[in-house]
Amino acid sequence: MTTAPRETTSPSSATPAIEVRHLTVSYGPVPALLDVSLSIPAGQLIGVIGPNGSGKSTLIKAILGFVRPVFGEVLIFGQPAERAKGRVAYVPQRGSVDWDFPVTVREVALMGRFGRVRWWREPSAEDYRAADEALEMVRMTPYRDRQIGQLSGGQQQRVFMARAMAQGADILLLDEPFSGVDAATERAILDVLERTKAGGRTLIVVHHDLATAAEYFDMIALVKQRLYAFGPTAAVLQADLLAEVYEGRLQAFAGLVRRGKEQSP
Amino acid sequence: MRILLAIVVAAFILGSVGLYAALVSHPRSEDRSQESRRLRLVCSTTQVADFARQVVGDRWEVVSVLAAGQDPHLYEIKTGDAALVATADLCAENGWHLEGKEWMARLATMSGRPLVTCVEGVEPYQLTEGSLAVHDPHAWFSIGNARIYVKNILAAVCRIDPEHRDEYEHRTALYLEQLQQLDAWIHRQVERIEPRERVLVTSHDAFNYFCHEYGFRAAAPTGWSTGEEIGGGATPERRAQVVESIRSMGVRAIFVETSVNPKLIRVIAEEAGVRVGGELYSDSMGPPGSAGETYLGMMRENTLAIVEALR
Amino acid sequence: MNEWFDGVLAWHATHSHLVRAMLAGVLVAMVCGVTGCYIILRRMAFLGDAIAHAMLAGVVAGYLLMKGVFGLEANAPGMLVGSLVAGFVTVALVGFVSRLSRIKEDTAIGIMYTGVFAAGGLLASLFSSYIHLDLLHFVTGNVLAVEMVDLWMIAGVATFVLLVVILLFRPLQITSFDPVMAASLGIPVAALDYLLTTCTSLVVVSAVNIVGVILVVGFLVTPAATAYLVCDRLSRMLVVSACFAVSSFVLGFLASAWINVAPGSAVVVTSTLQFLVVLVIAPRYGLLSDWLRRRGAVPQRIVEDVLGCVLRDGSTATPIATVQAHVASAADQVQKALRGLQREGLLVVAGDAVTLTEAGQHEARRLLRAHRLWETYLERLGTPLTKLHDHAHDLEHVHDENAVDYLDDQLGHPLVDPHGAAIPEDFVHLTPGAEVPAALLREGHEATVVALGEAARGLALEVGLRLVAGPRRQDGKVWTFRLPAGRDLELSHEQADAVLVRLAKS
Repeated sequence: MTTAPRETTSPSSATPAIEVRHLTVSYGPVPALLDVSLSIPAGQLIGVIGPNGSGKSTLIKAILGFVRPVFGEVLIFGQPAERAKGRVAYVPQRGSVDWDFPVTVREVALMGRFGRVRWWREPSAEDYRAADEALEMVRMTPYRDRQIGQLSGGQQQRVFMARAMAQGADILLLDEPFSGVDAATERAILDVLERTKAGGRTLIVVHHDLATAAEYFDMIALVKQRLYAFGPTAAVLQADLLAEVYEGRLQAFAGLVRRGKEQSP
Repeated sequence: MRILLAIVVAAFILGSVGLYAALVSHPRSEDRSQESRRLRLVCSTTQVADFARQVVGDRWEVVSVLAAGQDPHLYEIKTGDAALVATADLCAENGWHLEGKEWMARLATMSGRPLVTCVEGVEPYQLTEGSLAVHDPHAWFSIGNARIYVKNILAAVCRIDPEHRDEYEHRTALYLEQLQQLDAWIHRQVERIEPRERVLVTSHDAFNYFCHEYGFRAAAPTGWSTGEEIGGGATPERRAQVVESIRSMGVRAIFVETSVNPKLIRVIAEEAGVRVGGELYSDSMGPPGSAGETYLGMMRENTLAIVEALR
Repeated sequence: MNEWFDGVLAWHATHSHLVRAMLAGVLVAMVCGVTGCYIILRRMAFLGDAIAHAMLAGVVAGYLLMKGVFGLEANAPGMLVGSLVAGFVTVALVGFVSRLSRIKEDTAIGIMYTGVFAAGGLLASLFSSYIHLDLLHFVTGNVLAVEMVDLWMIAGVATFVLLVVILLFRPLQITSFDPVMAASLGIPVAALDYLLTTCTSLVVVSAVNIVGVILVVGFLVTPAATAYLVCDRLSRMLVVSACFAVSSFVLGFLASAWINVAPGSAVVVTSTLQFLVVLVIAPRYGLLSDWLRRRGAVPQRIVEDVLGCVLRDGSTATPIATVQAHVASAADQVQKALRGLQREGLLVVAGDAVTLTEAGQHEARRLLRAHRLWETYLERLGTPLTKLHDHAHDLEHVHDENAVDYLDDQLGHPLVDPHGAAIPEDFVHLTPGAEVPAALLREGHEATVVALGEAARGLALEVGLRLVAGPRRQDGKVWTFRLPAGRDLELSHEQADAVLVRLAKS
């Protein structure tokens, strides 16, 4: 069947971090996501790519439980998404944050702990420690008491990653963390992602740039309303597949594919 | 931690207001033996102040909150006014909502000062709007009512300073005689106007008592209050009614008032084809040095203006 | 003790109006300041204004209901509830319209609050025979006319709102900052929104007593905005805002007593003046500090020119006079540049001479390299030799590492510039142990092969091979390498690019 995604994942024995089964989300007659099934293993850095309006954000929202699918389910470490609140942390797009809000870097990291703190209590010493540790992980400790608007692009990204990590979440969902940053910042962010992954977490990144997708991720999910492919980078980045999804010409993708192959020894 | 803060804040707020309430309810000591200054009578309007002066002479300091030309319906109290009331020995107001939102009564009550309401005992002129009746507060334009005002003030003054009762009573007696004479004089003056011409059109409905007393018909585009009280304000129906009345009754002249914006009357005058006959003292008397500075002067000047215009 | 108490009573007797006004005003100011913070952070200022106006309709409706149904005249609690309901209705209508149609929120607010306000006026007119209310005075409000029952209402509102703000600080903070995350944590965002709207309505109702309907929004928003300019933390902002609100009330009230005017407007004018003063002098976000910062900043060009000049001078300590002479700018600019460079640790000023530090040398050489590469690039594209230096001098300030690398690669990693001066090697990337394409290597470098790209196939090279870079041949177009066992290898640019090597630690 041409509609079936390419089987490129090797089944793992451990419980998948996220399991999506036959997920269909629709706001109208045309579904945003149609019959998407995938099994995301833990401890990987996964990229979700696809053209604009392909349903990437919808997939993220469904995992976070923000949209109700018309059919299908999402399981987080075997539990339904509603019950697993707190195991998944969301790192928002930089454009959607109010950078003028009077809040410091440390306070933002601390927010990650609010799911555990009873609202009438102050955060405990342990909460502060967790937040500080998270900040240390992303190397933002020297900026602890800065108001968030006074940070550079990459630093802003890292603050929100710290928040996600302070949450104690095992799964991080990042929404276009590399958009609108320069090369040096991109490297810095990637470095943080790698280290977070090394800490045993699963990272799922919505990404817009095909070229860098080849370099950054362990596995890629190619989404355009349907799941076209999911698996190790090299296996997914096939010229003919990309052409079909991005409706471009084969030539354009040949170079990309070659680069992708080069990076993986 | 924050719960503690919340409790402290709540206690502080409720406590301070409670404390204040206790303070206010505590009766004030009226020991004035140490004080050497004169007694102070704070009045709301200039008319009431004039009456008060005629009763107490120089023995008291009489102050009027409103100045000449100010509109009592719309007045906004200032800190200085509140300070004045706080140090008053007696407060005097007109009553019947002449003072918008009862500002005088409020100030006096909150400061715990004795208050005399001048219209007490006056037969009210009722204005009916729909199912509601409102008392017209401009009662002093009838000399008979003015006498009641003065007597009310006398009674209040004597309660506070009984020592000089005799003096106050003598003064009041003289003044009442003067008012009697004024009344007779006005009646004679009004005789000079043809009965047919006795129509008094003014900015707002302040002259009902005057008209009732001396046989005029009254009309005004704005109701009894220049504010937004019920029955007050200028409505299109009233205005149309006034213009119609002017035309049908063949009125010779209409009048503006010292304390109200004259624009509306001027426009109506143009529309109805009549002239503006003069300016009357209504809610407020004249400034110091003018003829209308006292009640007697004011009534005299008003009468002369009206007679001159309509004769 | 008794004497003291009597003294207090006596003082209070003649100043009760002051005490009363202060008490009412301070309490209202505190809650306005605190609620105002959330209003401006959540962009609800216009909505706050709307609630204030809608309130009038609520008061009329409440009055009518109390009188018509229960026969109670001017029942304060009834009117209070009416105001709240009106506020709610307005907010609900606004939300409804803006969510379900293409009408944007600010337009929806304008429509709804004027509509509700006018409906109130209509009601008042229609039932004018019933209503004994003086709406005009209600609109203007006067703190001096506050009565005991008003004071209790203010106390109740203040207690409620402050309790909400204190106890629910964390949930309110996070829902204001990141409602998405709040929702994902299970915090009831919508419920908190309604709670905040309720608080706003309550605060508006009590503030109308002090400053009147028209000015309420000013009193709500201005102190909070003033605090916004000086605080970086929400907790501090709440406290500072309350302080600013209280100070503007106290100062405004005292001023009104001094000039003898109605207090309401004086309070709001004071609040605005306070804001303007802080706007100018606020340490980080104020206009003055902004101006000072910009004035103290030296254009980057001048800084780099200074660096370049010191490097080229070559002597151990360059006299400042030399720098002044060579850098085409005003003397004070150069001084500022020198001070800035010293602050950054790039050079040291000793007396009237300067020396580059190691970091300074690194940076200056980077700029030099950029300059020479730009010259080469320009010459390649046909710029006449005489114009080369000036043009490159302009362009050298474009020295982003990526751009320079691009130039270097495009030009085939040249060794000399058009004037014959040597172009420094890519010392940024060529650090011991770093992995670089072999094309970057200069004569004498030792390295080990790490990876081979497509273009390098068939060259008899393998991973782990040690090689030493030799001189360039054929006008720089050919790279030579010496391999173990005496073998020599010649590579083209493309081939050299395809060989990834690790630079030996020297």
